[in-house]
Amino acid sequence: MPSHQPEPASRRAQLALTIGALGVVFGDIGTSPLYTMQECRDHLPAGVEPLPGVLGALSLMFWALVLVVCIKYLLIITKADNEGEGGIFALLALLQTGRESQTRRGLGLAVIMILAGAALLYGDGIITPAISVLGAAQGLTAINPGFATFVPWSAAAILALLFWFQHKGSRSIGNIFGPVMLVWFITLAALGVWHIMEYPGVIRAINPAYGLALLQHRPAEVAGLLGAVVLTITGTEALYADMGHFGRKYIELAWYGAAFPGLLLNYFGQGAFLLAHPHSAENPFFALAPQGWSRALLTALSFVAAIIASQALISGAYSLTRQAIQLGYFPRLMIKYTNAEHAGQIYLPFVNTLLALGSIFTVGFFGSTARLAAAYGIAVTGTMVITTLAFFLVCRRRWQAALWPALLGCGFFLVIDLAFFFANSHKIAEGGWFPLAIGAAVFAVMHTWKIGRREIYQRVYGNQVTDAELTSIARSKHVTRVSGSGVFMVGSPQGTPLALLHHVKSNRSLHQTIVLLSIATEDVPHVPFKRQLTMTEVGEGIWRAIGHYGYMQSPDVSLLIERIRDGGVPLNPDAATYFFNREMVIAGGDARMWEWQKHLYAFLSRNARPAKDYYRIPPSQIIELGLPIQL
Amino acid sequence: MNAPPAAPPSFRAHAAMCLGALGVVFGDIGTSPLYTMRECLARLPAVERAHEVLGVLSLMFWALMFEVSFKYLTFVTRADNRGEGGIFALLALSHRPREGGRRGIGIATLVALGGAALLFGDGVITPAISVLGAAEGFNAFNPGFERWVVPISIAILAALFLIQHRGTKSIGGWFGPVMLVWFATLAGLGLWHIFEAPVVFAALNPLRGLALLAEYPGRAAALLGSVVLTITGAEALYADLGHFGRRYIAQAWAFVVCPGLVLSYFGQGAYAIAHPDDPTNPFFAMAPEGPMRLVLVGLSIAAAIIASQALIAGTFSLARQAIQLGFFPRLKVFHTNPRQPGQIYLPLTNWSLAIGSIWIVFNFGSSTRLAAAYGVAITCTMVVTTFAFFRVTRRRWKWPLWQSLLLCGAFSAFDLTFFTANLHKLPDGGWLPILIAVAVLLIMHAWKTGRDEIQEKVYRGPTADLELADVVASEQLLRVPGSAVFMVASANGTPLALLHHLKANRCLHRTVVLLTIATEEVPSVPAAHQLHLHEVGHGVWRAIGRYGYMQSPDVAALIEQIAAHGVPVDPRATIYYFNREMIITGGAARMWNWQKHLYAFISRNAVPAKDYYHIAPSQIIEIGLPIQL
Repeated sequence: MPSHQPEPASRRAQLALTIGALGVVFGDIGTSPLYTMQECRDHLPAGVEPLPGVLGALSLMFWALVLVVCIKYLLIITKADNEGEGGIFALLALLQTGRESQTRRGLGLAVIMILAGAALLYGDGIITPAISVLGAAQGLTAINPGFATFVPWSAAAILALLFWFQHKGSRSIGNIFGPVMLVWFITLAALGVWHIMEYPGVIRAINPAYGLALLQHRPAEVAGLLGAVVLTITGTEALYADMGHFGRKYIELAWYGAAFPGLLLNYFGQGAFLLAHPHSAENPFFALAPQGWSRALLTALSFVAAIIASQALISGAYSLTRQAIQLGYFPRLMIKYTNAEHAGQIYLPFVNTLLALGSIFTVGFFGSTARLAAAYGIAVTGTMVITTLAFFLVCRRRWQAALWPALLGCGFFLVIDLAFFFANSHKIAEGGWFPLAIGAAVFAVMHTWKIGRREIYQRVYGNQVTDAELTSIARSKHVTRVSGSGVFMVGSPQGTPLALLHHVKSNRSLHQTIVLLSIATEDVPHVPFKRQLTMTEVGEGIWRAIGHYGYMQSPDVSLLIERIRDGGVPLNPDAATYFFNREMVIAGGDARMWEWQKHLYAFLSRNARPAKDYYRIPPSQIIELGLPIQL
Repeated sequence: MNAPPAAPPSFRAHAAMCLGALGVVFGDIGTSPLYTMRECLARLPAVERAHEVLGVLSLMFWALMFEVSFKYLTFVTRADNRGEGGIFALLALSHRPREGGRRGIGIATLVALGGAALLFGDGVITPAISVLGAAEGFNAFNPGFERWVVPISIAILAALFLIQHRGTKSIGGWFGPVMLVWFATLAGLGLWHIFEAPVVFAALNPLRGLALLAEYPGRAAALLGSVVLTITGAEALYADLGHFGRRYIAQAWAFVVCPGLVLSYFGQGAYAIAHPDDPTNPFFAMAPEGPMRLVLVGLSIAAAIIASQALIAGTFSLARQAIQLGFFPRLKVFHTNPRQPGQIYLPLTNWSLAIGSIWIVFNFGSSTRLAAAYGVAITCTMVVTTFAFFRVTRRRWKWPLWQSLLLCGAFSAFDLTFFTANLHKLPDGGWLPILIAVAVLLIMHAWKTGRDEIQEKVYRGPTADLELADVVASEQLLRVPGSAVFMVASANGTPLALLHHLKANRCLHRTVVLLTIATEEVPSVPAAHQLHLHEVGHGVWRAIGRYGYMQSPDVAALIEQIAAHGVPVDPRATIYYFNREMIITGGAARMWNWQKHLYAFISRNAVPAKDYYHIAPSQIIEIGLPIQL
């Protein structure tokens, strides 16, 4: 991912980046108007008159947006970036650098907390596409109530198509995302302004007193209301996570230039509509457009916006997963690059399949945004609480901030976060268990993988064999040198591969010519042919070679071996044997893990990076040495 | 599994076998009265209910007579494969080696596999509906129990699945007697209520049933969809044949089960006629209110547990048959009882069933809603059974065509009627067992085709005929000091893993032992008979270790024995070579691409890690044999 975008010279380029940010970063928060106001209306405390009720709800929504999005995230939290990357894993990376206390057993409390926050994001990640697309599809009923039966089906079909097309990347249509979202926010604003004219008194809702007055009701009813209000800000965490794509400056520009005014005007417009038509049971969003073709047009535009929002979320899940893999919290998965110009545009088939199954299942299982809204929010507010706590730690440990200002600032936001979180906790029984269960599963995987990898590293890779030791092994009279050549595929360009040591130990032999080959993927799309191979001689017939490839290239080892031979290494490419290493994890040892974690780790390890690319080597020349490791 | 024992000498032993069959074979069909009559009554128009009960009873009675007594017990159960029943037995019996080198799975096999897969799909529903139906009895005792029904059912099922790994040897002896009490209770309650309205005997006339269907053609499908619940257990009855033998099953049916069921259904019918306005479940209503009814609920729960246990055990043995026939990847199989080779436990199957049936209880919540999903899969299996039975009569028994056609045509007429009558259940949840069945079928198909491809390409390749003695005699082979043990699956020929090792490493240890571990069909093999050893020459030995299914092989001890026979191996320093197929996709195998990936996934995960036989990990090396599909 490009770290710290270089300052674009022209205003034109700046504008392009701002509009681009609109298309990626604000999709989630920008589609909330589809269902949020309706939920708030339906969850007003019993017995409240429409006027104070709607004004109070609007006031809560307004202040939630200002305090959480404008101040907490845009003004403060986005300052914590890890080389331009945002998101909860950036906080983790910031916390970990400079604190290499990896000798401790177990993961620290802070790490566990952040992992839990990230895991919760997956739980909501499955709901977000479902609720956005369902929300848009419900526009069909606003056109004609008879379409109600088609709503879940059309939503499922759209999601299926969306996930199906992921492998093509968003290159070809990605450019229109920004302009479409600009049209979307302008539409939101225009519809809002029109209805605000109908009932200008709605502006009074800016006064927080209206909102506070509503909070005086019975706690259970307040919780229900806050659980609906939180839907306004569910997209905030995604905003922070997508920061790396565009940089903080352009996100701010896009927010204040288009998204924020559009959202505010629209929510106030919906409020004005509700006040002007207090007995309407329609969805106030679609009711903003006059019945007829303009409402159909709005529905179509909502579909497009929902698709763009889902796309942003899916890309976000890919990059979240890739960060987790890079930080060692997730098994290696196949990553495909879909765009040569943007290293950030990736496609993870496995994550895609799971998200697709999950969100289509969600649509089928919940069926309507009203039921889904009951499941939505608990996970993301949990993540928000964790973000605040992690940010506090970053302030203290990384920035050495004074205790009092940090405690005071974070404490204030923590109060808001916790209020929303507890207001959402009543949702657990109604469907909140669903994202929590997904979060728990993801957390189990991440925790198990990290712990298991560390255990294995300590057991197996702890003591590295240097090149000098390697040559002395090769010289040893206990090792027979047999004719032919062996190529050992190794992960890192230093040290001696385990497969070789294991091979020598069990077979007491070594080929005349040994090549230790590692494949390195660089941060550029293509490495020119001439610079693909670097080679050093270790001695005793052993060479070390590194093949450099760009992320868009797929390595061809047979070709590389021919070049190594041309470089003067005595080997025959057609008769060489390629040794791969494989860890065979067996449970039942004394590793400090739960028994089920050992089995889970073994399963993950067997299946990590399943379509293991053997780099186009002829199968008959491959031998894989399995090394049993007891956990 | 053992063939049915020869005729036992005493009446006592005879009765014991029948009693045992009661506890295992008839659980499923025996718990149908819990909900079937209620479902049938709900399909009748309210005003005519009392009048039309006779028609329903007639349909139920003749369904039982034709499908169970006639089709299954008189004919289908005669087709046993060495005493084993079930759809896989039919498949094995009608199998003919394919001529002309055609590969792939024939349509007929695919159909039979589909039937077996559907049984897995129903295996998820049967425990759920039985236990739910029994727990709903609490409602009849006190309607306030309504909200406890689902938690109680889930708790019972969870407990049942949790204790599966311990086997049923300690409580299995109780199953038969409890079921005898159950059927006696059914008969007693039924008889008592029949006296309320002896008119029910008019239902013995099959025309009453036909008249009912003719009168309400619009409701015929719904009615038959409920009537079919009476016979959903028939297929399980056939699958469990191997445990007891046809004779005892037929006798238990004729003397206990059939009278119990018929009397209970007729009693329920009589109750419905006598109390036309009572909306409660006629089954529980038959017992007088108060403690008696609570006792009936308790007994129902016991019967439902026994029925579920039988079904779970049946699914385990179905899975094992599939594995043995090569249609299913190797799963871990544990034996839970040294005296009964049929009592097994498959963890993966157990947990899949547990998750499925608990999810179903949670999601459907009542046996009424579940009954709306139940039956599609089982009637489809019945159709498949008829089809497979037809092939057995033709190919195996050499019946003349007209005879097979006549009989199987009659079967099919019934089966297809029930099947089409159940099709309307698909959107109400009937898709679930079908979906499970499709998944299972895809796995079986991918596994079988993949295995066949690999057998053909790799193991029957040009190297298959190499003589081991010739290979190791080769002059070019460099021998390095030390010893190696190669774990091989087959005791003949040259193992491919050895050839691959030679090709890649160009050397061989001075002492090589090719070790095969064989599991015999006895609980344990005495230590003196465990080892077979013979010398191939040139420092190579071939050894076979024989173990019973209750023993877990200890290879280190076996190597000590081999060393004691004079083979120069050091048990603590030798290297054990295991081999594993390493599937690479992208080859020319005639499979869909996703099938190759599915096969590769199964292959990676199928081999149980337990197979390392207590060998110290530092002495093991596993060689990946690359196979391109």
